[in-house]
Amino acid sequence: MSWRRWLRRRDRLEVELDRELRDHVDRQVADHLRAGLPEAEARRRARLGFGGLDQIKELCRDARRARWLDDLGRDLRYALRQFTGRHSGVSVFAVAALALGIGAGTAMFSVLDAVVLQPLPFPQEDRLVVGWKTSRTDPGRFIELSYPEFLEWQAQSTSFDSLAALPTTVYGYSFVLTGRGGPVTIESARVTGGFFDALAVPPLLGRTFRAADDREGAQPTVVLTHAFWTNVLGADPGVVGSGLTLTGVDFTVIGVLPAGFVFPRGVDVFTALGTRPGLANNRTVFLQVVGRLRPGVSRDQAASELDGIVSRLEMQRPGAITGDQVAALTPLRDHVLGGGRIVASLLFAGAVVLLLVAGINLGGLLAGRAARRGGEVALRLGLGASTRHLVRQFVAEGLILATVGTVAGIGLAVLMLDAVVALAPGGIARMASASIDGGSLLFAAVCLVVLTLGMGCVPLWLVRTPSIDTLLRRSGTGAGGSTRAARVGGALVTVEVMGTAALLVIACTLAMSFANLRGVNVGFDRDGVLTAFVNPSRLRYPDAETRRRFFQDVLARLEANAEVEAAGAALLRPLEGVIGWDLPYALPGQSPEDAAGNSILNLEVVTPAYFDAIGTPLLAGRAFAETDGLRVAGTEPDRAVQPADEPAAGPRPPATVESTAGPRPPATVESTAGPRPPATVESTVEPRPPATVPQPLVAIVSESTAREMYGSPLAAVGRRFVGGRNAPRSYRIVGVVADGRYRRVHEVSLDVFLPYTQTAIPLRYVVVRTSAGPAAARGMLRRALAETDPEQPMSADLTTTELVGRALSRERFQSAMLLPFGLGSALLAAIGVFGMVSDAANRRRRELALRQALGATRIQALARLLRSTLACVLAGLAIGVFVAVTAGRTLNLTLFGTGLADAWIIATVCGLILGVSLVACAGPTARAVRLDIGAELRQ
Amino acid sequence: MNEPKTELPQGTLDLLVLQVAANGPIHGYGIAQRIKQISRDVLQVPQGSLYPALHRLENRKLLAAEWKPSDTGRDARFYRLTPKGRARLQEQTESWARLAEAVGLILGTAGGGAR
Repeated sequence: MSWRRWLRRRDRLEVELDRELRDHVDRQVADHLRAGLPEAEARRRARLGFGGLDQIKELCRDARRARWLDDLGRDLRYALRQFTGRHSGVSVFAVAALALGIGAGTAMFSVLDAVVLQPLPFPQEDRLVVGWKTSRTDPGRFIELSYPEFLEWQAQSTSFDSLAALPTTVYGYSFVLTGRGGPVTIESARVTGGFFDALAVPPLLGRTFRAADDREGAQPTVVLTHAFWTNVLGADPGVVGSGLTLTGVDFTVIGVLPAGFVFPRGVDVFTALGTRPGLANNRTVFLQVVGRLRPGVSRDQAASELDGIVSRLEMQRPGAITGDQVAALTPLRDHVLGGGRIVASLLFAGAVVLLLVAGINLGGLLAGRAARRGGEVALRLGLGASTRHLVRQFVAEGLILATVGTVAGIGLAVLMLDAVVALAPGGIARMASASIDGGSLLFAAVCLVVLTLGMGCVPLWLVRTPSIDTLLRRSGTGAGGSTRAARVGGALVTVEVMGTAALLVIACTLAMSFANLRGVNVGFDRDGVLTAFVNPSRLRYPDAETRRRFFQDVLARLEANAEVEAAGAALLRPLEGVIGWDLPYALPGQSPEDAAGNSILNLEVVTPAYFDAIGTPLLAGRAFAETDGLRVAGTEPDRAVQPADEPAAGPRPPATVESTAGPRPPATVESTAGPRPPATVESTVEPRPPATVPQPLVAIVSESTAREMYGSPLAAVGRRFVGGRNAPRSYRIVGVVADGRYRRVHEVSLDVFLPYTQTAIPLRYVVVRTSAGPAAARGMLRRALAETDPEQPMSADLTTTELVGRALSRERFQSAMLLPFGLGSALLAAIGVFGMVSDAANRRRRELALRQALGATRIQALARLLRSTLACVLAGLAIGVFVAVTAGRTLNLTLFGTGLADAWIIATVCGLILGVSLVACAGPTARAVRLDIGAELRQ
Repeated sequence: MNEPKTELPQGTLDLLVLQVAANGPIHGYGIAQRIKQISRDVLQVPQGSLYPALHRLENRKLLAAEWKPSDTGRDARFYRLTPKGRARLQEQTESWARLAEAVGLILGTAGGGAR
C-alpha cells in the first residue's frame, strides 16, 4: 500500500468511525423518543449512556493495530518539540554529557574487551599454566629452574599433556640479524621442543619444533612470529626453508606463527633451547615452564605433584635447605594479562561511573520536565489517553535523546580509543588490538536500550498519581507526584555523588601516587643522559678481554667530543623493566643462617666513568679505576654460575657474579658445573696472561647497602663482604654511592657495583652525559660505534628521562584517564544536585512562603530547603569513600607515598564535591528566598 | 433503571458479540439492544467497550463490516460473522459451557458443605 493511499485510508476510517458512533447515538435518541421521552431528555440520556465520544474513538483507533506507526511518528514529533522549545539548552547539555559518557564507556569497553575479555589465541586456554618455584617461607619469591631440573619435572610429572620450558625474560636473548639490510637487533625466545604443542597453536606456514630440532648438535632452526615475518621479511610466502643469519649463525626458517600470538611478549623469533651445548649439565637457573594440564587435572593437583618432585630433587643436593621450595603454578591467562587487567578494569569502571552519572542526569532532566508537565499528563489521561500511550510518549522522548547521545558517543569513542591506545603504556598485552567492533557496538546498543527505557519509564512513574483529579487540581503550581519525585530524585543524587566520590578518591590517590613517584630522587640524573643497548657480537669479540677493549674504544671516542662530559658503560641500565642480576651476600663471620636474613643485592657491572656519566654522586671512598683490573695470577676460568637455590627478587636473566680472584671457598658442586648458556655471559673459558700483582676484588655499594652491612657509608669503606652463596668471593668495599632506584621507581634498590675489569659479566649499555641535546648525543654515539666497528648495531636508545617516563607510564596513563573521568562526573553530579534543589525550590514555593509569612527567618527557610539535598550529598560521599577504599583494597593497587584512605585526599575530594554541590544549590535557593511572599500566597 | 445490573465478566463481551452477529448482519446499536433484550435487561453493555470490541474483532478478521442501508433508511455499519469468527464462536461457546458447568459444580458443593 502506498503512503498516499494509506493516508487516505486513515482519513476515511476516521470519518467512518465518527459516522458510526453518531449513528449509534441517533438510534438511541430515536428509541427514547419512541418510548415517549421529550426530545431534550432523550438526547441527554443518549449522550449520558454513551460516555466520552473521544475516549471511545481513541479506544477504537487503538483496536486497529496499524496505528502504532502513526502514533510513533506523532510521539517523536511531539518529543522533538519538547527539546527544541524553551529548555533546549538543557537538552543539548544533557545529550552532550550522555555522548561523553557513552563515548567513554564504549571506548573503555573496547579496551576491556581486547585486554581482558577476549580469550587467548590458544585452544582450551584454561588448561594452560606457567610455573616456577617459590619459597614456603617467602611466597613472594620467584625462583627459576635450571634445565636439568626442568628435564626432571618433564620426566617425572604425569599431570601434563605437554610441558615445555623457556627463559623467564626476553632480555639477554637478542640476536643480530644480518644479510637483510643493515644489522638489526631482534629479540628471541629459546623454547624447548614441546612449547608449541603445549600451547596447541598450529603454524600459519611450515611447522613448529619437533623433538629432533631441540637436541644438542641439531641443525639450527627458527620459527618466526607473524609480526616479524610481515614487518621485516615482507610476508614472503616462500620463507619456509630459507636461511636467516642470526649473530653469524645460519638458521633455517621452519615455520611462521599466526598473528596474535601473545606469549611471551616482545619476541621476534623462536629458537630451540636444547641445541645449546652442555645444557643438560648446566645448573644455571633461568627457566620457567609452560604446560597443558591433562583433562580433569586441577592446577592444585599438578602443583602438589611438582612439590613432591621439587623436594625429591632438593634432597639429592648436599647442603640445600630442604622443604622450603615449592612449585608455583599460575594460569597462563593471568600471567599474560598481568597488571593490564587492573588498568583496563579501573578505566572501564571509571567510564561506567561517568556514564551512570550522565544517564541519571538525563533521567533527572526528563523527570523534572515530566513534573512540570504533570498538568498536561493529567489532561491527557482525562481525555482518554491510556497509561500505555503515555509510556510510549515518554519512551519516544527518551529514545530521541538516547539515540542522539549514543550516535555522538560512538563517534567520540572512536576518537577516544585512538588517543587511549596511543597514550597506553607498552606493558599492557593486547592493548593495541582494541577497536570499536561488534562487541563495543553491542555495549553501546545495550546502553541505548537501558537508557531509553529508564528515561522513559522513570519520569512516567514519577508523575503517575493515584487520581487524575488530584493531578489536575495541583497542576496549577506545576507539581506532580511530589513526594515520590523528591524521594527518587534524592536517591539518584545519592547514587551520583557516591559514584563520583568513589571514582575521584581512586583517581586522586593514583594521581598523588604518580606525582610522588615523579618527584622522587631516582639516584641518577634525569636530564642530559643518553643510554643505548650495545651488544658486541660474539663472533668478532669472542672473549671478555676483546669486549672490554671494544668498550674502552667506544668510550674513548665518545669522550673525544667536546660536548661529552662523561661516558660509561654498564651491564644493565636503570629501570630496564623489573629485572636485574641478583647477588646474595654474607658479612665475614656471619653464619649461613644469619646471612639468610640479608637482602639480595642488585648487581651492576660498570666502567670507572659510569657514575659520572649517569650522575650518581659518590658519598664515601673512591670510584673504580682502571687499575682495579689487575688480577690474581692464574688461568682459572671465569664462572657465572647461578646455583639452583639462589633467590631472586624478580624475573631476571640467568647468571650471577663471579670472578676469579679472592679467597676461594671450599669447592662446591657448582664450581665444577659445565659451561654457561651462551646467551648471557658468552665466553666461559678465558685464558689470560698472568698478572703481575695480585689484587683483591673490589666493589662499590649504594648507601642503603652500606647501612644494611655496616650501619653507615663511612663505616663500610674498606670493609669486606662475601658475595654469592654457593661459589662465594670476598670483595672489599672501596666506595659508597648514593641510593638508586634501578629496578622500580617505587623503591630503592640495594645495589652493589663491580668493576668491569674484574669480571667476565658483559657490559651491554653505553651511558653518555652531554651538554648537547639527545639528538646530538645519539649522533655522537652512532659515530663512535661506526668508527669502532661499522657492523655493530645499537638499539633501544633512550634518555634517562625517557627511562623514568617509561617506568611510570602505567601510573601516568591511569591518572591521565581517570582524573578527567572523575572531574567530569563531579561536574555532572553538581548539575544533578542543581536539578534536585531547583525542583525542591519550585515544589515548595508555597510552603516556604507560608513559613516566612508565619515568622520563619529566611535562613530557617533556606535550611529546610537545603537539608534534604545536603543529606543526600553527604550520604553519597560517605558511601562513595567506603566503596573507593574497599575497591582499592580488592584491586590491591600499587601506591607510592600515599595510602588508600589518605585523609587529605578524602577531605579534598569531599570538599570539592560538597563545594560544587553548594555552588549548584546557590542559584535555586537564592531565587527561593527572594520569593514575593504575598504574591505566592495569593495564588 | 433500578433493577440490578450485572457487570460483564472480563472477556465475555467478545463472545456475546460474536453470538449476536452469528444471526445475521447487524449494526452496533442493534448488537447492544439484542444483548440487553435477550438477557432480559440483566446485562448492560457498556457502550464504551462495545465499539472498541467491534473494531478489535474486525481487525482480527473475526467480523467483517460493511455500510448498508438499515431499516430506518439510513446507512449503518453492519457487522457479520466471518468463517474464522464462526469457528472462534464455536470454540468459545464450548469452553464457556465447560467453565460454567465447572463453576456451578463447585458453587453447588460449597453451598452444601456450608449448611
